[in-house]
Amino acid sequence: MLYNFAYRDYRARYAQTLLGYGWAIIQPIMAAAVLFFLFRNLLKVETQGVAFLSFTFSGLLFWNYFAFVLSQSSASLISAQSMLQKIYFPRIILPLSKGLLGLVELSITLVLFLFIAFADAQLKPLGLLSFIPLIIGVLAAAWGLGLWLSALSIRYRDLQQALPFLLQMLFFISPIAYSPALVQERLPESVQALYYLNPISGILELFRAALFNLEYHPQAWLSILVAFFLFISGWWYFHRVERKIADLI
Amino acid sequence: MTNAIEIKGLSKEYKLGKGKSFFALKEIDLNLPKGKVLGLIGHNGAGKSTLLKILSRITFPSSGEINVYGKLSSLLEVGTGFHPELSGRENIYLNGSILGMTKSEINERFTEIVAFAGVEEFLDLPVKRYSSGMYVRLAFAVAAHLDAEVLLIDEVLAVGDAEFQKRCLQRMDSLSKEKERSIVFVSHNMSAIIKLCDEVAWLEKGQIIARGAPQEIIDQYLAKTAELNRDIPVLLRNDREGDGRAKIVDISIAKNKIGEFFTSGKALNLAVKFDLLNAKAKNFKLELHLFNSRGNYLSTFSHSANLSGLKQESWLCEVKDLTLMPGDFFFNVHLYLDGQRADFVGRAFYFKVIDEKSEDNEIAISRQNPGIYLLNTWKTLKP
Repeated sequence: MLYNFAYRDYRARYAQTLLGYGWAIIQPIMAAAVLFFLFRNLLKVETQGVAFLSFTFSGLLFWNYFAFVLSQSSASLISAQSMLQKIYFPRIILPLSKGLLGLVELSITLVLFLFIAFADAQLKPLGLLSFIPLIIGVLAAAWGLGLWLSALSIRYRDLQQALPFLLQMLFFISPIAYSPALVQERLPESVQALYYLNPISGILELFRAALFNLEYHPQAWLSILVAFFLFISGWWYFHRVERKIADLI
Repeated sequence: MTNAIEIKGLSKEYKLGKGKSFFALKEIDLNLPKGKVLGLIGHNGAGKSTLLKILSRITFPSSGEINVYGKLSSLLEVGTGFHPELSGRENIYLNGSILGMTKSEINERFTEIVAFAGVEEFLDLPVKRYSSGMYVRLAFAVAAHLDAEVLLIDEVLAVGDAEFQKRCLQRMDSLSKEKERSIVFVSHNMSAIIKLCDEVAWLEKGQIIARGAPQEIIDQYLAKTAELNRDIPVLLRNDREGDGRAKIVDISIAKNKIGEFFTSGKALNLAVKFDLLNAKAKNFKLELHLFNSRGNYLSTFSHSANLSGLKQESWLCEVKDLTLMPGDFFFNVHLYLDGQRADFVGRAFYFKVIDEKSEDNEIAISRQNPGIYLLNTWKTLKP
């Protein structure tokens, strides 16, 4: 059923579009180009000694998937209102299926990333294996927040307004196009661990450490814990309000 | 006999804010024996749909107990699970899966579903290109071929043509009789309820006020409905159907005004006034459908004309000999603009036919199902 819901969205997403999958290629390339110009040419930020494009693209790879799954799953209940009032099915399928849907664009971005990374950076091919457990971590975080937000937005529609803004903030505080050290070193030591409460920060750092053979902050692992905590608590909260969905929506 | 559904003390309360609340259902007790068909009737807002929603687990009761034995599936609205961009074939799989079927179960029934819906040629077309009839047929076909032991069906037959409605009813009938499926069926179509149901429950304001054999409960229900609509002038009725391009505003007896009583065999002159609301149409057609108090159809009077640039129009219908048996009758009024229904008022006008002999009137009242009076003469034949 999860697959069927994802397939339904997948077909709907690419129906009657001119470029179809082209969008999955154009979007990250355009984003990388803008970031290249801003962060590399204008601000001249440091990227842990890794070639800028590879570094940034590894960030976008995770970020795009996270942002996609989070925004889609948060809106999943509200956009399926009429169905929720007329058909019974396990409600949690709706937000969860978006994780599956995001895989389409994730795999296209992954291929793009591999081309770029092999061309312009020194990397450890074995480090690529870390992609699988780490993307699961990102998925857990995106699902977790998505479950929270979809369940909460039944009552508080404001969340749908707040989400794009929230994602924008998160994009800038996450080390996507700059080295995490830039932010971290300016923080007092006692609160440095807080930086890893953002699941994206730690997961990105771990991935880059494995792939480009870099050092990483030991507290980066905290991000993984946060991601799974978000997922479990989101799951719990969703089930708590599940019975009221049709009445409140 | 084992039950398919058992409901005990079921209530559903909606909070309205400021400490106020509203009971959509109150203390419902109901059992549905296995393999039987239960009809739910009642006016809009009586709680029928809420009850089906609770049974399908879409919403949850505030108190009370429900037990459903066996797999339950429901069709509360036609085509809700359909995605307009997907083809008919994809939607069958998608909808089937949402309703709880596995892929191999759908494969098994696929040909049957497609044949029932009659959409063979259009299987690979996105359903947004389907006609509304095809859409409804496909949706019903999927639900009707589910392997559910208990099936809940809300007013879905109101859409679709007569031919298809008949097939749906047959399908439901064979599901219950041959396959021992239990069905809860909500409809405003009384003849469908009588054909299909073994038992009828009448809901009003969230409570079951009567339960029993279909014909008996429906008679009570129709008598009550008649009473309710009787005193509301046509202009104020808001339970209309049609696209609203024009409006029927008044129906009254013209000429020989003697109250709402008629004597059989005398003339009936009925004036119908309608508002054209500046509608742009060429042909206007009015149909008066005559029914007796039990809701059995007797006859149609219709008239059409080509009009233009008018705001209001009144037509007079003259029936020379109103040859009806004594009893109660009513008209449903339909107004068509260029063949499309613009307005409809059910039970728009009531009248009583009486006989000059008073003893016949008493018989008529007890019969409550008056028909047409045909002139007849008698004589004794020699042996």
